[in-house]
Amino acid sequence: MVTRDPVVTTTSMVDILLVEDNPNDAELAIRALRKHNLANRLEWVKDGAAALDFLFHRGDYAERSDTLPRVMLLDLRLPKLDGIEVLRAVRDHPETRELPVVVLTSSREEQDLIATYQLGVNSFVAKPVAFDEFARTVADLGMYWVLVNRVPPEIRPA
Amino acid sequence: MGIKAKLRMIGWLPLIMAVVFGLTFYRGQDHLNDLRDRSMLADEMHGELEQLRAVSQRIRATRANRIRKEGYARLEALDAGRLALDSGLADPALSETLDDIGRRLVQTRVHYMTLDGLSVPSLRRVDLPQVDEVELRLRHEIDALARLLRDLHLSSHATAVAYGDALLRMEFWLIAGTALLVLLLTYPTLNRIGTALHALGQGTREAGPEGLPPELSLSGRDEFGQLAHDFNQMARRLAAAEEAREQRAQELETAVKDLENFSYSVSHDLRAPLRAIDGFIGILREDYAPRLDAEGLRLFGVVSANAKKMERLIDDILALSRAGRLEMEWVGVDMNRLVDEVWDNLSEHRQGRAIQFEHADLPTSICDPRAIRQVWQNLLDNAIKFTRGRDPALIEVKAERNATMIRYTVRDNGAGFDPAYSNKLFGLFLRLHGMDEFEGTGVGLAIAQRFVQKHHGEVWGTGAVNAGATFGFSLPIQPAT
Repeated sequence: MVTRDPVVTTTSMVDILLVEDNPNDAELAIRALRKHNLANRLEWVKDGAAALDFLFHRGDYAERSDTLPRVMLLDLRLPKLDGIEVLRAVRDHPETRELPVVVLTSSREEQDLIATYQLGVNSFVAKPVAFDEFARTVADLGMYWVLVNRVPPEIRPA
Repeated sequence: MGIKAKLRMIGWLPLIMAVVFGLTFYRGQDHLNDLRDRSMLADEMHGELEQLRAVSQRIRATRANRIRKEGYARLEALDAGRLALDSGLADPALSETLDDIGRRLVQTRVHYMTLDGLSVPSLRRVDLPQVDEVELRLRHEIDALARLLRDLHLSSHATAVAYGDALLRMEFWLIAGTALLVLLLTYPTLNRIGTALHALGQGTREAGPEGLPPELSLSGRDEFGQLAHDFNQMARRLAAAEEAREQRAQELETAVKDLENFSYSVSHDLRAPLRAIDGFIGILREDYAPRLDAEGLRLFGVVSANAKKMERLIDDILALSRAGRLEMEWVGVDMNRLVDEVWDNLSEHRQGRAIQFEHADLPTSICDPRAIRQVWQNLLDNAIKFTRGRDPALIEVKAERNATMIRYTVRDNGAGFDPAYSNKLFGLFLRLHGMDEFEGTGVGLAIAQRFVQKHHGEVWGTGAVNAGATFGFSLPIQPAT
């Protein structure tokens, strides 16, 4: 249970791209999503560079199918490239410009909130410390962005 | 030579020159008068001599006593004149002439007396040719004397005129020289003063790089040189102080940066382990509950509660840090509305409580609304918290103003506190109540104090155990923004 790797095959469709360097946080998030059957099509990457590799079909993800995830859950403090840099790269690239990005972070700093909103983040969510709240927040996010929210056909061809 | 000495010299110089001028002028005039006197005397003596000549020509013919005596009187006058000439100026060039005059006067007197004697009627027949000879000699002497006296008169007159001219010239040069000397002394000094004042003025007025006064290039060993030297010394000290201040500012900036990084880390990195603790405790309690007894579950509950408490502490530390860093914005704030809003926002905290809330009309204040909202929130929240169990709980908000400050107070009838510890009310993490009595981290009043201090106001609290508490803060009516 502790280090169950949730990575799915790189050719299948991915609904949620989880960018999270802390394995505990990742595990808690994936557990919360799995309870609602939302973790089947989830890709977990551990740093900003891997997130961009995934989105731009580079490196380990060169063979990935073309479709983008329905949402990227992005932490801010990340190795290699931090969340702000990832967000900027995503918004700068014409293929990923419309990708829904939700910042999910421990930070409560106003400066992060402002910076990510200026870069066109879709949502900014502070990670609750309390387990119940955290589980509920992540599950709500998954339900909303995977099941409720609709995305344009560039991201998900019908 | 210093400027002061030069100025003093310039002041004294005309005075000295005036004295010298006066002395030379006085002595010159004296000498000139003597010369004129001599000329006049020679002229007078010449006149006497001519009268003597006339007398001597008539003496043989008339033999009148009146004539004879007049001749003697003329001779006396001539002798007196000669004495006066002698006693006048000690002029070595003239001594020969005077001696000559003296000698000839004696001769003249002798001839006159001889002529007078020979012309006595009883002797008339004795030797007439002798009389003619005497008369001739007398005339000869008188002629010589007349020549001498005329020469003396003319030469004295000429000398007097020349001396007068020389005196005038000398006085002129004396004045001109003094004026020139004063000018020569004054001009460089004035020039120096002008340049120095300009340089000093510019130096003190102009700011060099980094707002420091520039180095003054004013050499010289006078007072201005010393002043410029002192000024430069002072400027260097100022520069050193500025540098030290800059360094301290830089250190402070680094410290602030460190603190910001620290609070960012606190906000981010310290939460992750807490989340892991609470999260995995949560998983344990969810998935392994059947295998745990009641005590096991309680222990996990304690761990979970502490993780949450630590999160609150982190939140409060960050709030305090943000309070210190707040960039103030000064606007007029309607305190009545602000207090009402804060009270409404606290409705969750007073759910199920019967609280009698009274607030008087509060004067508007110029302050930062974000900061003062937080202050009201902390004070009202405390009042709600510490009146727990009171029925009815009473919370009263009031304000009063004096000349410079508005004092706002929140009074309650709650648990109060022991005034012996009132100095710890606003201390960070300091609490006067047990955790099991009233929850809290001991940061709320510290934040309130920080915010009020940023307004140059004060906070205070009074109270007694079980007799309620009054907390207040003051804001300046005219803030020094």
